[in-house]
Amino acid sequence: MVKEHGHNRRGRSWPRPVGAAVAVVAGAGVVALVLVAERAGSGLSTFDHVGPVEMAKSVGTVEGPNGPMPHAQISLAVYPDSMAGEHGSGGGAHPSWVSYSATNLWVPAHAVVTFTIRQYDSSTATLDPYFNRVVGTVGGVAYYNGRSASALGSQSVAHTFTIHGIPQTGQPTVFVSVPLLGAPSNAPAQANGYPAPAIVRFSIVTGGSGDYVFQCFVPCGTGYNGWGGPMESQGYMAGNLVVGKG
Amino acid sequence: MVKAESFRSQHHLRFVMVAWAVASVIGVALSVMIMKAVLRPAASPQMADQNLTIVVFTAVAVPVAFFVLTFVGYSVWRFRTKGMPTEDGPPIRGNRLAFVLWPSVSAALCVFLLVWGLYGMTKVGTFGTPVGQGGMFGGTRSDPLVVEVTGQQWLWTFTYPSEGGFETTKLVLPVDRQVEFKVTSLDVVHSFWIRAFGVKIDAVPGQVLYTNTTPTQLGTFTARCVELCGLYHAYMQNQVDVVTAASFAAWVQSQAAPVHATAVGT
Repeated sequence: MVKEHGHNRRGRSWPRPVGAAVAVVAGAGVVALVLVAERAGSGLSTFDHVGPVEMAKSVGTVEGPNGPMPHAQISLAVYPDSMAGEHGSGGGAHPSWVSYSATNLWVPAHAVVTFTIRQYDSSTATLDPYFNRVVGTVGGVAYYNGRSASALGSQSVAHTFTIHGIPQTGQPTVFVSVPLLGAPSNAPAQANGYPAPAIVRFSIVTGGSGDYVFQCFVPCGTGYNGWGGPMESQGYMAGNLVVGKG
Repeated sequence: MVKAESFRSQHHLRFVMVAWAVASVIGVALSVMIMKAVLRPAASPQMADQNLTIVVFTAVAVPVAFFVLTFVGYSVWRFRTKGMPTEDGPPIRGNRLAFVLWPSVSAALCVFLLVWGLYGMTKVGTFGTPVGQGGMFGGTRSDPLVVEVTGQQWLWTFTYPSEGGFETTKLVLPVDRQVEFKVTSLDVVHSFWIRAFGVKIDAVPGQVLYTNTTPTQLGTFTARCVELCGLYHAYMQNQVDVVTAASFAAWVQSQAAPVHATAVGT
């Protein structure tokens, strides 16, 4: 009886059972890889951060909804261009694009986090009035130059600072949206060349750790209805927010 | 020269047909069991119909697939040759039974799929028209709760016009009540999908498209965008809560409180 052999690319032969075993092992490997990838599907939210991370600073404790909680503060700015944020004084690839001052934010889990946002841009009417409202903050309000408000008039809003995330990955669902008051267009320029900013301050209570995104919902970019350019580009009017992970 | 064997031999044909029948019975039973285990539970009649469609179509496809695989597998095994073959197999001509059965069975399967699909479409508004107003494909209207769904990069918002017109980012629906979604977009094309409800429809800027469902399971689900729409498309997901009618009324009451804009100057 002639023993059956297969042939490899160099013409050398190996027993058919070996080829079959290799095929079975390779197939099992592919299946295992698919299963591992499926299991790791929740890793969608675990993005790699490009660029510097703006870290919230611990400032002691504060009274939270259920007693004292760690308190942290973080600052951010919104500029009418990209010349003063993390893109550097040259403005990067798109110096004329409106931008947040940072792309990656980190805040602690299970803490009260107070955001202070200096908003240097002038007002743009919101397209969706929902984003005139303050949602998800402590007390349902934000403080605009020291005055509390739960909503702004549509014509007063320059941008929004809106945090949201993926609910099905096991991390807490977070939705925070704060309209950012426009700086008066006739305000005198400061030393940095921008008008005096509107100071927006608000606090949120964080839950467990998770990866979220923040973005603006006032179409302040280019293209159709202003949704293009900086509105659809990370590092301008969109960025990442990590809760709790070091 | 040895006369080439072929499937004209009743022995071969009988063996293959028996093997095909056995494989099909086992395959159909296994496929139904596997499909029922793999498919997630339906939370609406539409999704139940879609799950049933997947199970039935799989069960129908299994004998067709095994028919091909059995013939190919048996041929490869029984008529294998070492080295290059020296001649072609004998041509097959004039098999009237095969000529009648092949197109007839194929046509019957296609008609079955068509009728099944059309029947499914009559049960839900699938052409973007308001529920009950799309002719035979408009579905049946039964006092639906209307929810306006707006897609914008990268979030859905929901407005309840019949409940005071408030807008939210969390979709809350009463159980066992028909819901009509009026879907649009402010920027690019999105696609509104709640898998558990079997609902999926494009959100097109400048147009309003309609679809409907009736949630039948209490719980928390996810609405997501399934049209690649930019940087944070993967994050364009909103929570969907299906609650009792009483809980829904209480939630509406809590949402309906007006929010007054405050004049804050700089």
